[in-house]
Amino acid sequence: MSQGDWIESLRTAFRTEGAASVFVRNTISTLAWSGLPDHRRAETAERLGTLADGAARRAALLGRLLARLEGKEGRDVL
Amino acid sequence: MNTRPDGALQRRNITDSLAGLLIGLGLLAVAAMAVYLTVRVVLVVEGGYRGVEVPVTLALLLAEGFILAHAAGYMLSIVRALRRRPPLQAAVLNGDCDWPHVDVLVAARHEPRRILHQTLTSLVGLTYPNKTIWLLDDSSDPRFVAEATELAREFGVRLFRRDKRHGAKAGIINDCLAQLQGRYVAIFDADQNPMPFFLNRIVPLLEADDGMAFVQTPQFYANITENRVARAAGAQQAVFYEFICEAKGAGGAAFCCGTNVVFRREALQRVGGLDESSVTEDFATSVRLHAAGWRSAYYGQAYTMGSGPESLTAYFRQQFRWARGTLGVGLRLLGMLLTRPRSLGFWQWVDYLLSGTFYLVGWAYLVLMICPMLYIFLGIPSYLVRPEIYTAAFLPYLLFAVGAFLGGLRQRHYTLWQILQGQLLVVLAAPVHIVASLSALTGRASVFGITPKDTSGFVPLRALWPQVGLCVLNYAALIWGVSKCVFEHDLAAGINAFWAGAHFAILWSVFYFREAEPRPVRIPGESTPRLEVALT
Repeated sequence: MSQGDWIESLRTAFRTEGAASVFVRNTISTLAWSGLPDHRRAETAERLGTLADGAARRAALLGRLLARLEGKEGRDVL
Repeated sequence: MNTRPDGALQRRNITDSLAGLLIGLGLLAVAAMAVYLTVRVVLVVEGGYRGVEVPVTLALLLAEGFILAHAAGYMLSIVRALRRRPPLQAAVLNGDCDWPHVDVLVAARHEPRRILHQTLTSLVGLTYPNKTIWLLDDSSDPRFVAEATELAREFGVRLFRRDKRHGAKAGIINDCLAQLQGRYVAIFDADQNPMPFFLNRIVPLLEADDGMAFVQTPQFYANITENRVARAAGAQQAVFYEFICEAKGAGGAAFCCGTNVVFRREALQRVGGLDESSVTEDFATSVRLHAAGWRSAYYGQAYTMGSGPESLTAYFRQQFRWARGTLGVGLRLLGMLLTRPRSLGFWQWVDYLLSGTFYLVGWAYLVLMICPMLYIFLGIPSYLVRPEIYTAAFLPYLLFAVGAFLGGLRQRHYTLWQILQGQLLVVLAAPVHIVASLSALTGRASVFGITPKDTSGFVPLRALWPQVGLCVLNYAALIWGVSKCVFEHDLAAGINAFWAGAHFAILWSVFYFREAEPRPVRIPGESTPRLEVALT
């Protein structure tokens, strides 16, 4: 696999993690109309929030890795 | 082509008995409204009003009639939405080569980078195999131009710009449309984030029906947890997106709402693209498509999340644009009804006329608020009735209508507090709707700003003087009316004081909504968009 392929795969992973974070956070907001009681809603939101945070953290790590590989350290990548 | 029924929308999680109960309540409400209106007309005719009482009485009757007509339309929407109907058909698409090409357009002008970044993240995350994503950048500010260029490069999406601006969002979409080749065009606003499977679910519906021009999906606000205006605006949207849109969709005549929609490109091009003559190009284009014989569907699933207005200022700007545009199209519809009555079907006319006139509701609210004050302060009666007749005519209408309205939304899991907040916000927007209706009726140029996504702080009271002024007047009427009732034994003053008190309580909510709440952290260097658009 060439370096270009590696970087493209990393970029795909980076975007997927970023998208997952956005989707899960958006899903949390739909809980307001879920009909769940307050405590269940808070519990579910917290669990989903952990998932979203994990995806966001992985996206940030991948972003930094991409920046290093592409020689853009110190710049805002995506 | 093989198709299968798409059962996602079939009477969503509702038992036959509950659906039957809501349908029954809706029909009873319509019947009770008809009785109430008849009684009101008779009371006005036989009331013996004189002088200045006559126009005041007629204005009140007109306001009540307007609200009754729209309430009846809503009740019938519940009935139409909950009736059993055959499911939408979806084409069975298997291999990647089966999926027709979709051009995904996101139009942006001076959008904060954070918002655009999130939207592009969602769009590149769409799992649909055969698509091209386009960022339609209409910015003129060099900073936003540079940001859009950078974002398009980083996300690997196509960037479209034009040399000459015309027709705002509709204009740039039409300009881009001229060079597209895909079978379908998906349109998203710059702050809308579709779920990964969005196109996989919507495109098969269009593939299954060559006569279907577009499939519309709802907007849900994702910022409802941190902002009370967004929360109330979201609940208000729910009234539209739940039963009203479902009813329109059931008749094959859903309206386009400008975003979260997939068009058949051929249909759009056959009617000359999006209608650039209206600021609500979505509504105007829907009329064109339906008049040309195309069908449309509404797919009521929360597949896209967006941002609601986060301050009263932003909400009022949004409402002004919607009211100005919709009423403008409403006027055109009245002309079309007279000249080409067969261009639309019965329910299409009903739906379009109700939607095209809805924003006149500001006048109705104003009249309803003024009449009790006129009686208390000046002794001008506008509603003479014996209590037993009033109770017998008004109570059934109130009970059935409120029962069907709240029952329907509760079944969709909206809480009473959310529904109330949404309705309060509609009343607070009455002055905005009035100004917008004057602008639409006179055809005068008007100015409004685009909805900012990250505003903060209080709205100054001087900017809310119509709401605050009415609130103060209603409070004074309440005190004076109660005094007259107690000291002069004037029962009618007491009843009018009750309504003044109710209006005072409703208007008091302006202080609730103008209060700031925690906002998302503002990214340094990002500013609130200040685009001013002149309507001609």
